[in-house]
Amino acid sequence: MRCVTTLFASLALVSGIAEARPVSYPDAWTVMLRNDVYQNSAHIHYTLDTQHSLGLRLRYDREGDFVFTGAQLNRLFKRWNKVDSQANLYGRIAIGQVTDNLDETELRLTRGNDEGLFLGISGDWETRRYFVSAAAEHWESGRFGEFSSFHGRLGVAPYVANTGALHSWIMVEGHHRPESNDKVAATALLRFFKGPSLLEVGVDDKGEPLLNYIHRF
Amino acid sequence: MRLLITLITAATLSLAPTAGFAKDKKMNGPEVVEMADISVGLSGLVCDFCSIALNKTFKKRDEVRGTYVDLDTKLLSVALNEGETLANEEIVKLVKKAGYSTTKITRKDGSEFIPPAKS
Repeated sequence: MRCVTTLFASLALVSGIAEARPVSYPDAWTVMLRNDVYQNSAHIHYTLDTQHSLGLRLRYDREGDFVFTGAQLNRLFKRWNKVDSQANLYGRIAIGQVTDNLDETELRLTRGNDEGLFLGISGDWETRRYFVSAAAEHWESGRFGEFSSFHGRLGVAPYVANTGALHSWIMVEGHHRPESNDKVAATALLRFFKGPSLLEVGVDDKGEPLLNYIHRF
Repeated sequence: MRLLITLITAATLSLAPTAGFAKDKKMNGPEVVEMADISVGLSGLVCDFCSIALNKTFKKRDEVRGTYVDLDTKLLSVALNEGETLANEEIVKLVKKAGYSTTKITRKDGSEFIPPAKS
């Protein structure tokens, strides 16, 4: 556990996720960190071309207490560029290994390892003032179980900022995770965006914090 | 599976020394607007990530001296090195490569080019 915590902390220091926009521009590197009631997740990817990015995905499932480590491929299926807006449809697939979290009292992996598969689809639409997104995800984690997750976001920018200025957003995010103990949750968050960095801080309806970070190189 | 992950990790990291981390010595401030040889109208421009994508894509070209994206006017200004030129078709391609669409290209001499709707 300490190893996983250190790894996430290290990634946060060098840069930090919101899973929107998993494909950047060709040759760009992106670090995405997401930390909420369900997970601590890091995804580092390299954009191969205008439609594909490939990278590493680490995800600690807080409820299931296991870690996924694998390779993730993201594909931009379609982008709609309009004069005042942009919309995107993305698909994601990750394959890797699911590892039991280390039992610190017995110092052994009580449930061992298994193979894991992640599938996701998401869409977003945004202007400089409004933002809407939705995503569906499914995780197959072998003996650790399987689960689905659905979430959506609405956002509004209180002011419209120009290039290089600080961009701020007020957002709400709703989650539905049918297999979870806590099936439905809502999170209020603030997004701050400047240059290549994006930071999100929020709190959900149970008081659990959210901290996401994206940096593009 | 472990071997596959290792291989993909190695392949991903081997791409690291490419342009993503290259030092950018070209101009990228609003001063580029004044000296621009080409002004490119854009659609799909909604955030600072968009401007970064366009700047980095254009600045990889030897012909380009500097670029600036203005989110308010939805314009990409491109200053070229002396004696260089950049064809309209190439500009449309570069904008598409960055993930956006070109609505109009205006040159310093006042000439305009409006690409076909699908570009």
